[in-house]
Amino acid sequence: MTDGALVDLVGITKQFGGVRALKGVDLSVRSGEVVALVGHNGAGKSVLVQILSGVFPPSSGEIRVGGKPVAFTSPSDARLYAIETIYQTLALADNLDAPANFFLGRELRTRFGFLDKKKMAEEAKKALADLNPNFTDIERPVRQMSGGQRQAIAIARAIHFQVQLLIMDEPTAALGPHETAQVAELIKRLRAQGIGILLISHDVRDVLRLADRIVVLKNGEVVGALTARDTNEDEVVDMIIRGRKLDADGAVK
Amino acid sequence: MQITLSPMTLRLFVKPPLIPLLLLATFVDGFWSLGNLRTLAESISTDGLIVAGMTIVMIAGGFDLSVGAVMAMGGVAAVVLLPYGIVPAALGALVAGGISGFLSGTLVTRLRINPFIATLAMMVMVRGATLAYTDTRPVVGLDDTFLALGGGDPLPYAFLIMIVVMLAAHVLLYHRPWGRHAYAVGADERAAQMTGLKVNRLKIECYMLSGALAAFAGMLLAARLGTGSPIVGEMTPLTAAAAALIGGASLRGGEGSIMGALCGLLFVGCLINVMNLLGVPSYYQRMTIGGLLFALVVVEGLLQRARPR
Amino acid sequence: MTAASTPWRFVTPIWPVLAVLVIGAALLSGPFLSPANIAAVLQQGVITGIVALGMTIVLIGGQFDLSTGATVMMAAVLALLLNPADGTSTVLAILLPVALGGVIGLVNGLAVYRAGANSIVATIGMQFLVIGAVLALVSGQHVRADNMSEMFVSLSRARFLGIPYSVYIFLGLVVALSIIMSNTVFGRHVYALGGDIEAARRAGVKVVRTGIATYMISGMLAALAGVLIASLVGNLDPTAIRGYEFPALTAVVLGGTSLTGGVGRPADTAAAIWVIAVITNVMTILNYQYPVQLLVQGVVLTAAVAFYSWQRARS
Repeated sequence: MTDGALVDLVGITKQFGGVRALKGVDLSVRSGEVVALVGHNGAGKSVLVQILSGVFPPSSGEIRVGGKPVAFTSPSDARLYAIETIYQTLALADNLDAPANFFLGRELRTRFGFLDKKKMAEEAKKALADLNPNFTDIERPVRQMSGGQRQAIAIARAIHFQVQLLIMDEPTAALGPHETAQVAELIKRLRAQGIGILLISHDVRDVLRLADRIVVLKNGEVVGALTARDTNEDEVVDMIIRGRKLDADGAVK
Repeated sequence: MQITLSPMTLRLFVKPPLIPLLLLATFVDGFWSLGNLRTLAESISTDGLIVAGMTIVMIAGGFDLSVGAVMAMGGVAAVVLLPYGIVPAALGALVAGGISGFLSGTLVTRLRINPFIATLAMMVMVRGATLAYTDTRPVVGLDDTFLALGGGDPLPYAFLIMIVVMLAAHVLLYHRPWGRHAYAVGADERAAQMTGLKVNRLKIECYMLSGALAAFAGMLLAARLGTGSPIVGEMTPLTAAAAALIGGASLRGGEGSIMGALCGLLFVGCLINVMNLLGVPSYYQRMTIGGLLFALVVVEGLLQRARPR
Repeated sequence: MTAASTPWRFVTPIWPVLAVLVIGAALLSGPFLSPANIAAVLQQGVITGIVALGMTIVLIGGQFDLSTGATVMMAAVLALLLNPADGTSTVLAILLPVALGGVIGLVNGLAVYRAGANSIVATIGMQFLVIGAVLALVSGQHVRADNMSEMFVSLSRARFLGIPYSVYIFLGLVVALSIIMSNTVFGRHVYALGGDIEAARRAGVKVVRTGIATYMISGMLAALAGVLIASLVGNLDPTAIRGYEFPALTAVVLGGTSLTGGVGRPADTAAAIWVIAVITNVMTILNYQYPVQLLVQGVVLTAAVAFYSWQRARS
């Protein structure tokens, strides 16, 4: 394992019937580090994200948190280890309002075991105002809200509960330039707080700007790892497309 | 060692185990007697028309729970119209079934109602209307030509009609553009829409076909029973769905075939026939069909989950 | 708090409809407002209403339970077969059918949420399985209980302030389920299930467990309805009490529960139950028979579904 890593993935494979989606992936993220995962559609990025967030287990391989092997049987297990995910789809229940989505799966209760709606509304409102001061009308079904507002809910609930590793799956895909800049600011702020971030994106320019390290996935395998500072757009794109494999010395085969 | 079975072998031995069932049936006294085979042919022929319609609706991604009620309506309509001649009677049944299918299809497409609920509502309305019209009593007043339609020697006419309908449905699905379109709509409605197919129109046509076939089956049943009963067909949607599902159709649409449906129909028909021969009370038959359907959708669900997402 | 703050706090259209119908019925037919008839209307809705409450919970979770009619029949027959003559057998005749209803719900829930079976077809299959089993058990014959204990009879017959106990049971269930659905974690999770099951799963909701619980509630409530029928009639022809799932489903949909799940309230289903009870009652007073009532129910269901789908398409 990598010393001081927050989370290590070791030899992760995943098979769906006869399809091998991941063929032994190693990946680690340290505290305060932004690791970008890039690759074509179908390279296995989203499968890896879902394994790390506990949506389904790997076929083989190990997930280690703080060096100790763990097994996730559900997304709530991943949450127990302070791994939070912002899915590309946002994973919001459209019929519920913002506080309900914010606290979904970890609702606050009163002494009698009933939902503490008032407190949940207050806390959610505060957390959302932190991200977007104009976002105050939160108690209506999220299907009536704008894309940016929905994104804010998904982000707010992922960072609110003592997150250590934040997985962001295409966080800017559905956003305008202004909101994209906000997300970039947020990533920098979270990194400064010592949170590890796994950023999945197909926007290479974004990735170069935000990430410390870039891991390239192709056909279910890691074909390259680059330091963002020492690389450029062409090199990354080349690797995504051609999938050149690096040997032990780091030289191109 | 990997054993590879041809699709036809698979169909006859495994999915459904039709040949094993027939071999087992050999041990049941009288199964292979001419009289019983005739009974079997009669009993599956009306259901067969309905299974053909149900399969087409399911291929296009729908479902039709109203077939039993429409069958009862078709029988009653035919008997009521019989005084005007057998052709008007048959046409009347077909038109009544077609209209009911048109309404189901309209509910599903224009009002975007879940097909199960839309056809469930149709089922209740058609059943209610039929019961109200007949005052819950069977209608009689049959003439000889009509009754002869329920006979046929050595093969029942209804059975021959079913074979013809199945052949036509097979040609429609496999050798006509319309069939291609039905599969396309069932597999991915939006994609079909974007390639310019008239999705709503095609789905309505599927329901109309199903309704017309169900009503026609009702007329053949009335000819065989010698009466148009408003209460027949309670189990029909289940039996038809079970046969179609066994035959490879899927609740998600885009899958299924007439050959498969025929095998499924034979399987369910033989199962019920054997139970009848063994003197198993009808309650157990009801249980068997219910359990079969339950097991089928559980298996379908499990298979679907095992697929990559 | 704004009026339209959360989906389960909308003022739904079913209540004004109920008010208009009651006023209309009172104007249309004199006997409608007699105390005896009002008690009858209230009682008429109880059995279907209890069934509908369970189906509402399942449908808010995004699934259907069409096995409830069979469960009603199972419970009624079983309660009578247990012959509730003394204290012990009375308790058994209430608890055993309800427990069995829970088991039926468990099997449905496993099939739908664990195996991913289509809930409509699976529960119709279950319906025939249960009806077949019950008819086989009694060989299709009449069942009757002799010397039913006063306690058992009083479940449906005894009155308080002129209104049968069963009505209070129903009202109690409406209140309890309303609280459960809007004020507990379980209720919130059921709404999340119906809203987006994958999102709920990813947010850490125990999807399978919650879903199974909805079916078990539905099964137990349907069984309770069957026990109330047994208490009311004392002897019955099993084949005569079936098909409760359809009027119940009509009420659930009429009450505004979304067919795709995530939206609905137990209290709205209760309002819809009374709307149907009033219509049925007036039709009975005006001497329309069962087939016409069936037809009208189909029309009401279609109209309700069409109305709500139009309303949602507009918003």
